[in-house]
Amino acid sequence: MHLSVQNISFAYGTTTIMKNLSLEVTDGQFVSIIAPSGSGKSTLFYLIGGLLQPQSGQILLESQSIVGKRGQVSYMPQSPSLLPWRTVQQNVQIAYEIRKKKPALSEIHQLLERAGLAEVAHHYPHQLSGGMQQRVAFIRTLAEDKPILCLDEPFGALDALTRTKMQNWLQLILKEEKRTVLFITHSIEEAILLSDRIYVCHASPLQVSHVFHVSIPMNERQKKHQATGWRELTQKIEEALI
Amino acid sequence: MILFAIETWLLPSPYDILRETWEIRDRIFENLRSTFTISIFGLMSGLVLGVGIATVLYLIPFLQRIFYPFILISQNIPLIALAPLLVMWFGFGVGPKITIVMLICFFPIVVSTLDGFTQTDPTLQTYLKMAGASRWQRFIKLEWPSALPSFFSGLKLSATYSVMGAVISEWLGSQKGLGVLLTLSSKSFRTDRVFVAITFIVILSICFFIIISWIERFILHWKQNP
Ligand SMILES: Nc1ncnc2c1ncn2[C@@H]1O[C@H](COP(=O)(O)OP(=O)(O)OP(=O)(O)O)[C@@H](O)[C@H]1O
Ligand SMILES: [Mg+2]
Repeated sequence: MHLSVQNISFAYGTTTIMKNLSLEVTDGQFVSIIAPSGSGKSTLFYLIGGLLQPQSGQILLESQSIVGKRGQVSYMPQSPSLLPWRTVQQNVQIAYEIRKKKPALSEIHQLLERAGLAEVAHHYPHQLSGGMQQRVAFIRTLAEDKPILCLDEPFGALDALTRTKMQNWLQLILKEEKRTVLFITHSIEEAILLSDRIYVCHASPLQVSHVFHVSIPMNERQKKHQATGWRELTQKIEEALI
Repeated sequence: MILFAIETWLLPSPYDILRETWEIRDRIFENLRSTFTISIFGLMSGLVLGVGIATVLYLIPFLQRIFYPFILISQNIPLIALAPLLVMWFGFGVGPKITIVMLICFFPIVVSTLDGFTQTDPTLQTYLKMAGASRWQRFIKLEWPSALPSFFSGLKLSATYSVMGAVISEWLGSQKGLGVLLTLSSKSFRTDRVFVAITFIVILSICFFIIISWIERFILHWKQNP
């Protein structure tokens, strides 16, 4: 698996959003993007997802161009995106329906079980808390079974406590379901906790300014500020953001 | 104590109306059945036509731009003026009557359904597009369910119009129906019977409304439980 975004530029009308942006994600990696709000992070995902087309540049998945092609990557939107008339299970099922694949109920149950959602399989989204809803949305994204997961600030709208729980939950899930992830966040802590690599971008136009490798071992990251190297990395990222 | 002495032929008492209802129950049943048939078939065909037109106009924006203004204008033609024409073309059978009801009913359904489609949450739209859903999948799995609440508002409106439409169609020439009972009774100054006819027209309308509300609650059950 290899996703390669090469020198893409994009503008909404005359407003330039990004210019010559490049980034790489390789197999099994968890890559985060930190950028100021309103800088065009979601727009980048729309470009990768084929919803929009760059004015120049190339987007390659496994060396094949995916410019303007939809359904090549799994995507989880920034805002709640469950269909309110479908139960949790049916919401996950839509990932199969879109591919015209027979939804394997046992497979869905297994996913829900692992995500701690088995009890609410027949609940409607409005009966769930915000954190639960995002879990379901994430499981649905997993079920799409695409080579890469594009997660757009999945925990952005959650309160701090739920957010921490969700981060731990995501780590656990990803340990079992080995996936490649491109992750948008505006939280430095979240990025360090989850990532192998962090792209720090500046805005207008959106461009990568720094790349950081996170070498803190996974099992030490729970300690956050007490982990060796955490403070230094946080400081470096903060400086890069200014 | 009687405050105003009103003649029975002007305003009959509820008791008079009830007694008269019992008196002519067979005739009422026959007339009710006739009006019911026209309204229900008219409503059903209006429903099919309305949903069909809304779907086509929504999926083909080009057609919507062309035809939507015509549909709006067509609603300014008083149907009562069009009705004699239909009778002249198609005769006095049930067909033209159902057609009149259909023409009255389809419009609220087209407008409300089209309006409902535009209520679709753009986030969900973006999600489905990114996931690679086809145009038709988005229509069936997202846009239709999003339009349902609005569609039902239109359907309830149409349902009440359908009974009114049936009564008007019966005035244009019919042997049976609550509309006929209404005109005959009023011509012979049987105010009690006029009230009986009105009562049953209202009851029929309310029944339609209630049944559709039930169906709505059943289909939109995910909206109910808090
Ligand atoms: N369809 C559009 N047409 C014109 N401008 C747009 C459109 N969508 C977004 N924008 C603008 O482009 C810029 C980038 O938007 P985008 O949503 O990609 O930013 P973001 O980094 O994801 O923001 P946030 O931090 O709020 O999630 C914003 O200034 C926004 O106002
Ligand atoms: Mg965004």
